[in-house]
Amino acid sequence: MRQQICIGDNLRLERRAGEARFICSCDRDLGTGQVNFKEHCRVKESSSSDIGPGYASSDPEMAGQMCFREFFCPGCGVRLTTEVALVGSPYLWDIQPKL
Amino acid sequence: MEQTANIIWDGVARGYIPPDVLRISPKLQLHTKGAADVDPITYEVARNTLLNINLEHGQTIQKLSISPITMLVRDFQCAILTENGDVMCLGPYLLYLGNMLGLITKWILENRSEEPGIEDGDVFLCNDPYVGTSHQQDTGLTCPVFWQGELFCWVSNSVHYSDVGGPMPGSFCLNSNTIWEDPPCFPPIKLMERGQIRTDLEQLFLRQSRLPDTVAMDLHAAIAGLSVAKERIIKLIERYGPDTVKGVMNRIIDAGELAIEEKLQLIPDGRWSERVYTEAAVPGDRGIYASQINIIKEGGFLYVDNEGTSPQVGAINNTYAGLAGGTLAAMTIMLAYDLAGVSGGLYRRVKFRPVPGTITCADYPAPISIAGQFNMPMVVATATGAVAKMVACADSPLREKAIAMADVHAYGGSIFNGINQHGQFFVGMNAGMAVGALPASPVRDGVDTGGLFWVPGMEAANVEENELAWPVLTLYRRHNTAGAAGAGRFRSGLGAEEAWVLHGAPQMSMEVYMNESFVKNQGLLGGNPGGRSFFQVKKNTDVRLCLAEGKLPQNLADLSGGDVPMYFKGPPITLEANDVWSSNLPNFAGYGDPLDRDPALVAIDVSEGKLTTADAQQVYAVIFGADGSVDEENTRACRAGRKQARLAACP
Amino acid sequence: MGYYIGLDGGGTFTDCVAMDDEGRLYYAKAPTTKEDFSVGMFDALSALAAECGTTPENLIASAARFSLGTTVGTNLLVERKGARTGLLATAGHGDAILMMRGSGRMAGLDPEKYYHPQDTNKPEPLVPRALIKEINERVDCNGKVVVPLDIDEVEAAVRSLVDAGVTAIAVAFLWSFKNPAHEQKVVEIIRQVAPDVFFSCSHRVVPRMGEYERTVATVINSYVGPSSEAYFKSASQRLHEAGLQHPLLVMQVSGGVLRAQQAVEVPLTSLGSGPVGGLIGSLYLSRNLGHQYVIATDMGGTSFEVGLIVDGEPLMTDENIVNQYRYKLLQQQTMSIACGGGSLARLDPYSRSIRVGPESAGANPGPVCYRRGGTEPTVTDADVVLGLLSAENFLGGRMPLDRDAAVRAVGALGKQVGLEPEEAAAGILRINNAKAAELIRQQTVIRGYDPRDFIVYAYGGAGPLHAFNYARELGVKGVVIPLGNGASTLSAYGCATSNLVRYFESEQMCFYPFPLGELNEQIALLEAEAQKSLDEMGNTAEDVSLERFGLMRYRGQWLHNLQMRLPAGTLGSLEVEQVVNDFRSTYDKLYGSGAGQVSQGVELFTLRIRAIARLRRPKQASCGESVMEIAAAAHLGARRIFWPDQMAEIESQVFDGRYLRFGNCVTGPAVVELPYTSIPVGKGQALNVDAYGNLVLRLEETTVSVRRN
Repeated sequence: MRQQICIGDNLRLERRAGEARFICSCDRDLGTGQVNFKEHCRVKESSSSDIGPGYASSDPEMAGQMCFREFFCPGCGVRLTTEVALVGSPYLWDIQPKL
Repeated sequence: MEQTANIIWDGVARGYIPPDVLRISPKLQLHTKGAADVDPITYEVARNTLLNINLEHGQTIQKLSISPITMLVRDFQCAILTENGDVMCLGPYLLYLGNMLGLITKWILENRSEEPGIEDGDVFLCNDPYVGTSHQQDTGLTCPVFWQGELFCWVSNSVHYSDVGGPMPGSFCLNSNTIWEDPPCFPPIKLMERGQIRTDLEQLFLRQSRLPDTVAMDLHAAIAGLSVAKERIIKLIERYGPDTVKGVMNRIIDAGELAIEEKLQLIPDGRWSERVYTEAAVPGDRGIYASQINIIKEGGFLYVDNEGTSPQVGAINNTYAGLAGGTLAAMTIMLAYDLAGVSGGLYRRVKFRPVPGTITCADYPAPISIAGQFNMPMVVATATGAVAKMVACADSPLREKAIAMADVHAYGGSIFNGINQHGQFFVGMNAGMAVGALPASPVRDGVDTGGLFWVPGMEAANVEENELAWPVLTLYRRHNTAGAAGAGRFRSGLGAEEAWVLHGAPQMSMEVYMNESFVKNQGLLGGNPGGRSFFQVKKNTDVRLCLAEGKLPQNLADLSGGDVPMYFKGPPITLEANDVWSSNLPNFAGYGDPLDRDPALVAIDVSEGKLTTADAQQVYAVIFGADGSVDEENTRACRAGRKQARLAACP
Repeated sequence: MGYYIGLDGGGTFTDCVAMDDEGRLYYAKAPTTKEDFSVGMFDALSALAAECGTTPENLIASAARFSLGTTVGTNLLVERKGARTGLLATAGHGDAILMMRGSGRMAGLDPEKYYHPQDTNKPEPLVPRALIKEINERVDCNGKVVVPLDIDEVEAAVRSLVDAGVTAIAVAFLWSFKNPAHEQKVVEIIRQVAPDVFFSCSHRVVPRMGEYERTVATVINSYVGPSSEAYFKSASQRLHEAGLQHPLLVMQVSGGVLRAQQAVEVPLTSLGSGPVGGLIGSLYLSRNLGHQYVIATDMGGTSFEVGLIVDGEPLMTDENIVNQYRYKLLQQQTMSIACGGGSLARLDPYSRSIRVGPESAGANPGPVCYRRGGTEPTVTDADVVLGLLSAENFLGGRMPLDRDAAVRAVGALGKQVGLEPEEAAAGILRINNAKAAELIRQQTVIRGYDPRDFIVYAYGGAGPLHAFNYARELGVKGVVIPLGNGASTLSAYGCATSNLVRYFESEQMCFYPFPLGELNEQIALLEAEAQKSLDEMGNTAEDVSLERFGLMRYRGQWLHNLQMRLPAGTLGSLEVEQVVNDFRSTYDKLYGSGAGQVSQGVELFTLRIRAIARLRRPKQASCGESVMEIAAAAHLGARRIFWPDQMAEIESQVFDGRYLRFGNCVTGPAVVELPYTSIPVGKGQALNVDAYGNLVLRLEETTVSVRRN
């Protein structure tokens, strides 16, 4: 029986008080395993052209429909995950391991 | 979707999904007696022979074919299958084609065993994506191997043929809205009957092509590969007996399945998803579409669906065969990496529950021909994202095998045609960008120009080979820099870019090129996504003047002339003497927060000229001292500050 | 008495061979001394002199010729101890050698790794990016200058490389093989600016298409250049001081020797002449024995290497891989897999079966029976368990093996899959031999040859030991252990017997119907160059000749070609048509009727001239008289051996191979022991000693003629 599941370097799903919870490496609780942990992150949404040098689009109108989302741990500011997504689309619930 | 609910997965109206038990005519006798007690030594000798037979099959194709797509880009695959069409092993070539050979063969067993019958010496040809190909160009050949009147097993291959007809040279029909604007589809036909080529059917196939001689050579190379494999399997049966060989084949798959089961035990149950976006269903379309793959892991099985994927549209579709093949390719790399191509065991543990009528599982009559350039890399990328997240949740050592996403739309680059400097018509597919890059993983950086992991062995043509075949001069072909694209705690390997100018011909036509309007790649667990893949054309430049003055332009920005507004997919462009064009294979995805990257690794990239100190600071918050070494203290402070600033910026 | 001496200083031992005026052969070996190779060289020569019954001084002074084979270059590469090398490349293309065409991550690796990206990486760069300088210059595919060479830039680049501490420079520009003017000009500049720097340029090293492979060849040439040059010069000097009267000759991977002063121009061509040495030795032996089709096999501790002789000619290749770097260079082809005495046998838990290799116990810890701490069973342990390898007489009794430990290790593995120790040992050999046979198949059948037409030559420590098994697997005509006890010095024998050979190549795409004027002009140019070099090879040649070949393929078939012999004289359309017809029919013969489409065009893309100066050498002496009786000293007794082909333990005779004589015939089951290996003679097989001391193994139901004289 697993007591915890490591998800990459900073995020883990851990049993706490009988419940599976997302926890950051800084020990910040990111909510129950039943809910997308992204809902508990600080989120920065920027243009998909502005991710950094080299991403600039030659078609700003098309690129404008897309955004780049960064999900930070509200405790320590580490970037846990990112999404290139359609503006206005819900966050992708992409990591749902079961403890 | 409701109106399609009663369409069956028959390979005609919808992609073919074989039932668990095939409906095979009693006319066909199958050899099903596998010995269960083969001694461990005979097992290993026969196993080694069978895997080598498949390699020899592939080497034969590679050596005797003449299209660079087959020879260099490794856009082919070969497999040995059991009597009922289960793939035992596939070769180290384009991975997503492996499962398709099983689909085609099973369809033939169900639909051809009664009429016209399956007999010794037959070879079936099929390029119908609804039966089981990725697109019409990837034509499959499958050959039954008989022993004393019983169907013992199959050997099969799929090869990309340079042109199989349709309105566009190279057969990538960007403008198709229906399959009737695509190259023709041939459901399985008996190309060879009892050892003889049906010249009428061969001609029927070749007649569609703009390059019948090239396709004929490649087709014969593919047939030669089948003959080699079939002959050797017969010899193996003669030596050890059919029941022993079959017993070995079954045990090979069983052992592969056991190995997969053991890996699955390292993964917690759960559900993982990835979504990747694409654009432009046909040239001129401004729409954006989604490809999504979800994997549910439950006990010893993986269940895959594509819910969340856009409805089928325009030309950007693939059938069930592409969805399953692309997903299994990503799984092969992350779960079956140590099985030497024995993927049959993996295939048994993956169940598909596809949503039909979508761009990644289209119903007839959606056109499919461009899937090889557009959908298939996208499906593999989508699957890679989902599998990587799942594997990253596994226990060690499996979690280290997660690999970030490779290209979504950068495979192959461009397709063009014209009359070359030797006065010959050509259809060119630029394999220069086949240098690829290995994306990041949870334990190490990717590998610069490290190839495409799902097309092992793929290689780019030399510049000199391109310049001999086509009327072009390559101004440069070089690595990208390691800036933001693909950054992360571990960064992606670097991609590359090249720029061309016409040389030796007044013009040529470019039909397929890809200039992404936005980045489509996704980073892994905090890593940056890969870069935007671009294709840029500058018209009426002063490139000739530069050359005449003895300068080789090394940057498009340094040239006069106007940028042509480029869409992701545009109409064919005529390239002329003063035009310069460049294509870029971006760095792929990074892994983890770039602010967690070891400053020493950043310093190495800077010292090797891959990263500027400005980018090191902007992307990685690494500060260098006056002596050029990392200023540890300031770097720590800068990183802490950045993390605080992130939180301050988004309440 | 004059001697023809060959010395191979490549391996653990420095081997040497001498043939005297009357064709008698003498062998000797001494441990190679890495710090100063000449110590090992003179040790070996002293031992050789003793064999010849003379003094080292006299042996060297009376050498009619002296040839040297070496792996000095390969060692430099593998240990990354070559020169600090700079590269000058065409502007915009300096990254080519780093990009490695995208396939460098896996080039030359076992295909099993292809599915495992996380277990592969590119090799360390041969030239760090900072030492790659891009030069403004450009030539096109027709050899036309598009952008002239920027001479100032070259000067500045060379100076900056020298300032950065390089001792060697490689120059590799695009299309230089079509127009070498720019590279030639750079050479002039290097000579002026940096006269002490070793340099090489791509059109000289390998004037062939494909900038990546050509650049790698040129860079390696420079990388190994300074040390190779020093090595050849010092060897030459030491030998001349010791009284050598003739120019030192150096073994080339293309299969001939060259004078040391010519060899230093392109040290790449001596790189790895060790591995091909055995093939070269086999070649000369096969001509002597009249064998037209030979599979030369060398099984050692970790690897199994195979080369082919077809129609009396060794198969050549121009694509090679070293450390995952692919480069172009014409050489005798050998293919290698990880399969040898040290290959580890392990359990595959998923199928409950045994896997053998590719992992190897290497030299350290080595097989369990070596008593060096190895715990996992190897192929050699299996040999010992079965009794094919004598635990007591290994290395002539100098290194007794621990048979009990081998039995325990093999037994423990066997137990996991339900096999007795002998059964498991026999199984390990079967698996290992099947792998060896598979490599041979790949070298023959895939090329369109039938192994049944071939004779296997088996050498290397583990080759003779296993040949009886892998040879039978293939149904070959027979097995020859060349020179018997001299098999371990086969490479040196190759050096001693080889001719002066040089190849001259030029690449230009000719589509059929070929432009005759251009073709004849190219041939004339190449032949003039070849003739000039023959003249330089000079007076030792008693028989010189030029042969011409064309590399041909179907249009666009980049990964395959056939070398076709071209007729002498000016080529007219009739001759050319004949060559094209020959090409088509050879192709169909190899790959099946109709494999080549008649409508598909044919290309002749490379001209190749072979210049040979055949050197006078005595005919190898043969024993005049055959004896049927085996000398008493040769019969060591009998022991029980578990034969893997019979799966039974059988009382078997044991012989000392050193005392077997021409005419002797050993019938199986038996083992013939030699100081460095053993030769099992299975039940129903027979081993004959021929007039030249070769051991000829006759397999069941096949015949191979035993050469009398």
